[in-house]
Amino acid sequence: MRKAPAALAAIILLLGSCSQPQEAQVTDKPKMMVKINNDTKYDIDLKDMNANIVYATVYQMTQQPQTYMGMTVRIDGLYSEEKSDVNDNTYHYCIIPDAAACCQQGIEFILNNSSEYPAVDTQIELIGTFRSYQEGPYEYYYIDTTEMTQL
Amino acid sequence: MTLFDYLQQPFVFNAVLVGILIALCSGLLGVPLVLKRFSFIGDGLSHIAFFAATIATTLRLTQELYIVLPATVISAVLLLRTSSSTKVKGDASLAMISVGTLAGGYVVMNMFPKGGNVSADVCSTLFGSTSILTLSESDVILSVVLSIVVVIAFVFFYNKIFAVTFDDVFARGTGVKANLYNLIIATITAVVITLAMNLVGSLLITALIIFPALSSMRVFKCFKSVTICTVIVSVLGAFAGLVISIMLATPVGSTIVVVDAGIFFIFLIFSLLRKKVKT
Repeated sequence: MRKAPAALAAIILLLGSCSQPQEAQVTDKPKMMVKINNDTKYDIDLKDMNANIVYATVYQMTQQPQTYMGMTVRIDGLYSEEKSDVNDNTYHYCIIPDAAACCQQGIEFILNNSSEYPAVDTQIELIGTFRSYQEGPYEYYYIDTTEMTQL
Repeated sequence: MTLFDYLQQPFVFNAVLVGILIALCSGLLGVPLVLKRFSFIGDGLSHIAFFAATIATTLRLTQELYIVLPATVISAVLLLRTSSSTKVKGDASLAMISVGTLAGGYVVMNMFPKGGNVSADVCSTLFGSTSILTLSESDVILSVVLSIVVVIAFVFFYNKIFAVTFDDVFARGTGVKANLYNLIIATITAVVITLAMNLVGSLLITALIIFPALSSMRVFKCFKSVTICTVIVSVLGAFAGLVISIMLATPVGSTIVVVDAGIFFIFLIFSLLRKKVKT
C-alpha cells in the first residue's frame, strides 16, 4: 500500500517534466480546418467576434502558425511599428487587446500595395493572407495585407 | 456568432474540456478540505505556485511545471501536516506563506519581467483572465492526464479519505495509515491548485474549491451525496462561467467564481425555504 502513493507522486512529477516546450511549432502537419463563421468569405474573420476570442485566436496564430498558413484573415486592432536596431528595418504590427485591455497580442503585417502606413495607435482593419517569410536563420509570420482601412 | 461556432475552434473546445476536468477535480477536493477546516489552503498554495512560476520564468525554463509542481506539492505536504508541536499554528503559517510568496512573486516579476507588459502577466496569472483560452497542446494533454490521475486516486482511496477527513485520531486508532492518506490529499491538492491556476488564476482558486462544497452542504448531509452534488455543481458552474465569458467577453476566472457564488446563494435560499416548510 505504501507503493501506491509513491507511484502516484512519481507519475505526477514525471508527467510534469514530460511536456513539450511552449514555442511556435514549425512543422509539416496538415492544416486543421479552423474556418470561423461560415457566413463570411474570410477563413478567419475576427471583426465581429468578442475581444477575448479575438485575442485568443491571434495568440494561437502566433503559437501554432502552421495551422493557419495560407488562410484569409480579416482583423482589426491598433497600428504599431518598431524599427530594428540590427538591420534598420521597420516592422508593422496590428495590436489586439483582450476584453479587459490588460493583455495584448500583436501580429505583423505587410502592405503589398503602395499605400502608406498610418500613424501609430490608429485603429485599422486589415484584410489579407497569413504567410511566412525567412529573415536570417528564423522564420517569421505575418499577414500579407491586400486591403487596409483606417477606422 | 453562436456558441456552437465558437466551440468549433480547437482552443475554445480545449478550454471547455480542461475547464470541466479542473472543475471536476476541484469539486472532489473541496469536500475534504472544507470539512478539515483547510478552506484557505488553496489561497496559500496558489500564491506559492505563483511565486514558483515567477522563479521559473526568471530562469527562462521552457516548462514552468518543472518548478511549480514540486514546490506546490512540498508546500502542501508541509502545510497540511501542521501539528500542535509547531511554533506557528496552522492558519498563521498559511497566512504568512500566502502573503509572503504573493509579494515575493510580484517583486520578482517586476525585477525580471517576461515581457514589456507586467500588468498583463499579473492580470493573467492572478485572475486567469484569458489563460484558459491560450493553452498549448502539451498543456491540454498534461491537464487531461493529471485530472484522470486525480479522479482515479480519489475513487481508489475514497474510503480512507473519508476516514481521515472526519476523524483523523479514530482513523489512526483503527489502523488506518492517516499520515499516508493525508499525504495523498496534500498531493492531490497541489496538483489541482496548479491546474486550476490556468482556469481562474491564483487569487480566485479558493472560490473554485469551496463554493461548490458549501453549496452542496446546504442541501445534503451524507458525505457521498455532498461529494456527488459538489462535483455536479462545480462542473456546471465552470461550464456556465466559461460559456458566459466567451459570449459576453468577460474575464473567465471571475465569471466562473460569480456563477459559483450565485449557485451558492440559490442553494442557501432553497435550504432556508425547506427549513421553513418543515417547521
